[in-house]
Amino acid sequence: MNLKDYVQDLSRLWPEIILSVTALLALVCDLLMKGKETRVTGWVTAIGVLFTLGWVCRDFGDADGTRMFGMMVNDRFAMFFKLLITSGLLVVTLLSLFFRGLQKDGVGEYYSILVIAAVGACFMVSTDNLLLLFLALETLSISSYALAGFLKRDLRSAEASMKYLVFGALSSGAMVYGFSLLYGFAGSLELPQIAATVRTLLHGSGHGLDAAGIGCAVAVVLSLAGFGYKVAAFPFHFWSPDVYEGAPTPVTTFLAVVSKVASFGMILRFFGGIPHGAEGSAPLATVIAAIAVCSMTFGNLAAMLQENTKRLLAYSSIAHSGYLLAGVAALVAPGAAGAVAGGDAHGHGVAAALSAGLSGGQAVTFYAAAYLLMNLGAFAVVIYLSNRFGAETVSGLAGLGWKAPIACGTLVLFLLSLTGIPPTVGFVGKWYLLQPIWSKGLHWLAVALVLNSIVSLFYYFRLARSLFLKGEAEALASPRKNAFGAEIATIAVALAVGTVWFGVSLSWLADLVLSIRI
Amino acid sequence: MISTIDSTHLLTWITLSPLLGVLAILFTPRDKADVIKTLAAAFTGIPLVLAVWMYVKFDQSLPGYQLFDDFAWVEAFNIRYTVGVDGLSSPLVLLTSILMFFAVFSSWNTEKGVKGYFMLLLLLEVGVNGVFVSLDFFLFYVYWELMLLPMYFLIGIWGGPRREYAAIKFFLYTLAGSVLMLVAMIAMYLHSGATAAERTFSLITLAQRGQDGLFANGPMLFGMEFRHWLFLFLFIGFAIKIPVFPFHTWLPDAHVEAPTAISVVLAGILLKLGGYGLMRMNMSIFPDVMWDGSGPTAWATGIAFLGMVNCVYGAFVAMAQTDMKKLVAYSSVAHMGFVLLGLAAMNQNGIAGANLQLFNHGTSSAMLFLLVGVIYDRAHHREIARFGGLASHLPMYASLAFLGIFTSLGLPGLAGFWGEALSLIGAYQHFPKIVLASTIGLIVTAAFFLMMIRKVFFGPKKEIYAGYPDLTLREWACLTPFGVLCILLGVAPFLLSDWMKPSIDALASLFGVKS
Repeated sequence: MNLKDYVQDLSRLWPEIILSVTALLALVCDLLMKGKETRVTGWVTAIGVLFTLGWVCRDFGDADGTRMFGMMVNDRFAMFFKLLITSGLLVVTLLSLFFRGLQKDGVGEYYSILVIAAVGACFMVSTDNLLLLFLALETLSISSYALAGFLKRDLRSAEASMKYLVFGALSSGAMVYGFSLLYGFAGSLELPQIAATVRTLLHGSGHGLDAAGIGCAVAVVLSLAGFGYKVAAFPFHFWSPDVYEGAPTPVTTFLAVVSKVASFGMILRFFGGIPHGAEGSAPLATVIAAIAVCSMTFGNLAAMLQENTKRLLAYSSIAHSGYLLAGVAALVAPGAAGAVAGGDAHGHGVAAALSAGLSGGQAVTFYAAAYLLMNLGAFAVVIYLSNRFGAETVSGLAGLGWKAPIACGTLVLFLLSLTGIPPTVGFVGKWYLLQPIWSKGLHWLAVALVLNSIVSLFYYFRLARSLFLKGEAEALASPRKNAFGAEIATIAVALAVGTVWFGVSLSWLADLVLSIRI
Repeated sequence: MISTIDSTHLLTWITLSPLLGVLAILFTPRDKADVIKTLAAAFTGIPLVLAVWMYVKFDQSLPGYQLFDDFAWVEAFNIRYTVGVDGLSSPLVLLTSILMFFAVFSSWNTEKGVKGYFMLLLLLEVGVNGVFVSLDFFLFYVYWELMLLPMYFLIGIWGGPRREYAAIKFFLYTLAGSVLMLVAMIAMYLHSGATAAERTFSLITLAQRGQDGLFANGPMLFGMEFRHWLFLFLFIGFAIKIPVFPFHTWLPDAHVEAPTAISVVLAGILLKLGGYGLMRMNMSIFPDVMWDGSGPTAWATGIAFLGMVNCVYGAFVAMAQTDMKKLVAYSSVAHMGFVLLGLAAMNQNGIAGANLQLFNHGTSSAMLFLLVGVIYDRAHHREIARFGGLASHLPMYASLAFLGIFTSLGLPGLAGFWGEALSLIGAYQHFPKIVLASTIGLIVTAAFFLMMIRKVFFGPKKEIYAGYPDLTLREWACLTPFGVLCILLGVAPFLLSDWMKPSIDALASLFGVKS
């Protein structure tokens, strides 16, 4: 690779470069402020992230599927996920600025670690090389461990960080072992080759697996353990409720939303090469579907018992990992209506994608966007309520809907969306997911998914019940001053508008998602 | 296929004008309660006026849909915003608009959270009218679900003592039905064409292709035919709404806890959605599941049987009630049984009976719930045993109550008679034994209503009720229109049946029956 190509490839990396510079600026800014006036650092970060977001939007149309440095792909898929990551990061940064727990001095490096984690996430969704994928994943993970423990004097925060680290190390180990086996089988670190190998060895066409097939299955399952840990899927979810509860709420938001969305980007990259025409891997689809059903069922059932709102949302996010994995199962399952194989990113365009129907990958991509929007909103309101009223439990929310109707009204909307009821983006997401699941013949999975949304309604609306069905007189808390109520409410309203807008004006987003090739 | 677009967009205006009211109320300050109530009345009045205009404009001689409005919503998936009405849906649109308008007046005394209450009520009207006019399954589903949230809060915030339980029960039951409908919708969409360009959500096209046998050659799933699964999923979705035994248990809770106006809307309109859905989806798209070319299939017999269970079981349970509102609620279960019986008959008489029953039960049950609300406002209880001799204390109230009750129990000459009679006549052709069993329900219904009259309005006078004022002007204004409708449609049922006839004939013709 000569210098000219190198510079040219580098020019496609502007979003990551700007983000890295922002992280450094945040550090320098904190030094200049001598650890005081944390908010200045926060605003500098927010501006940097906003700039990155603008750059991603600007470059979105230019993504043509070229490979960079022989390790990364610059395609619409990567761009779309970078869009999600940076916009999620922007909201998390703003929420951190307004979160009471992070108002103290001496937390300036928080912002820089947050941005570094997002840099890792950006690389994670654009690489097609196992080695870089692992590096990116660890960049995100290690930053996350630090973020989770950021409230140093808070015992729960420290415990959260420790738990996260131990579980993370374990699953990373398993995953790396799986990766090394995959490298052995495929003779390559490149995902397309690995996918082809997995497809051949795990075709599952009736007569069981041979020795190589079993080895390959072990490798894939080990990798799945690592992925499952990142997205908190059953049975790799044990860390998540404690970490979500203990970590500062903006960090919880980051882990539950940005980190999870990026991880699904990585999962789609990893498994996206497996379907080829009508071919796929039935055994793999079954395993993923089983994990999906367990995740959604367990997450929803366990969420019913939760009293702490953050824990409730943690279990809800386990359930949503299940929904998303159901889409992944539809992606890898053999069957006619899959991704349009071959060709470059623009070759066939929407028309070709249309004739084949929505692929599982596209459905997951869309659901990830929907998930981002509605969960950011829900966490924003949770932060609002804890800032303004100190309310962090379901019963503590009693009657607050009457005291803060706008913010709590938006929460009801986000809960509707999480349940999957129109006219919200969550419904569109579920409807997208169900299409490929059904057309690939996974009928039981589709029914399991919709039955789960009934279960989820029950606990989501425990929040709504507490907020609105209890009288104003039953409110336990009185509003605090200087709680940034108006600022956070503005963020929540903006996200609520998005949730409804994308739930009604479907056309544009549908075309965008269908133009993504996965 | 859709040849004439209605240039006035009348149906769109009927459906969406309450949404403007929601916005208007949203920006009205909380303390201006009178302004909010006036706005709510105005924005339910607009659809009412427009619905009357629709009645005038509707060409009663034509079968099929009219007053179309149509544009592409999501081209990638062939989702269209298509609305239109036929003789089955347009009466229900009118019914909805009438009931909603009077629901606003009957909740004029609301003091708690006035702003939210009327916003939700208007949103509910959008959902209900939207379902009746939608001719695109996706749109239908969106409107169908749009009703859930307003209803949850209307029961949950403004309801009686056990409102929280009743509200979530209503929400969970209805959602359970609608997610199964969602699965059926996606399966039908994916099955409706080989490529995405041919797939459709249009109810007209789906009905056409369904009648041509499109869904008959689907795969076997878990030992049952594809179309039977679709039929079952849709049926459960609608059965929960109707409600059909054993899915009815949400109804008494919801009715008893809901405030008067919401009970009126629930019984008057929301239950009708189920019956309407059965005709629009199950019968129109899967006629061959219910009719095998020469007679009713086991599915149709099953539906008729469930109708019979509803009639008999609902009536007996109603008889056991001590609470007036609960009694009226269970009487609704019984009355909806006749709708099922009429639809299962699949002939002109049966379908006409079911449709008349849908409309007339809308007016009579609305009237009964309003009447219960009137006495509850005065006595603050609804125990039948604690009343007595009201006829002499409140003569005007009693006379209107008699009218409502006699309509409801199906006295010939009043509106309720026609639906029940025609349903039974229609069903007798195929299910004589089931019809005979159902008449038990008819007798028991008369019995419990008459017993209620005896206990509440006659019997020993109780002095505590002596000082109660008779109907106020507002109550008169709410009750009279329904009373007029009960009498008018009793002596002149052709006002409704002529309107519905071409569409009923078209639906009945799918089942190869000439009567």
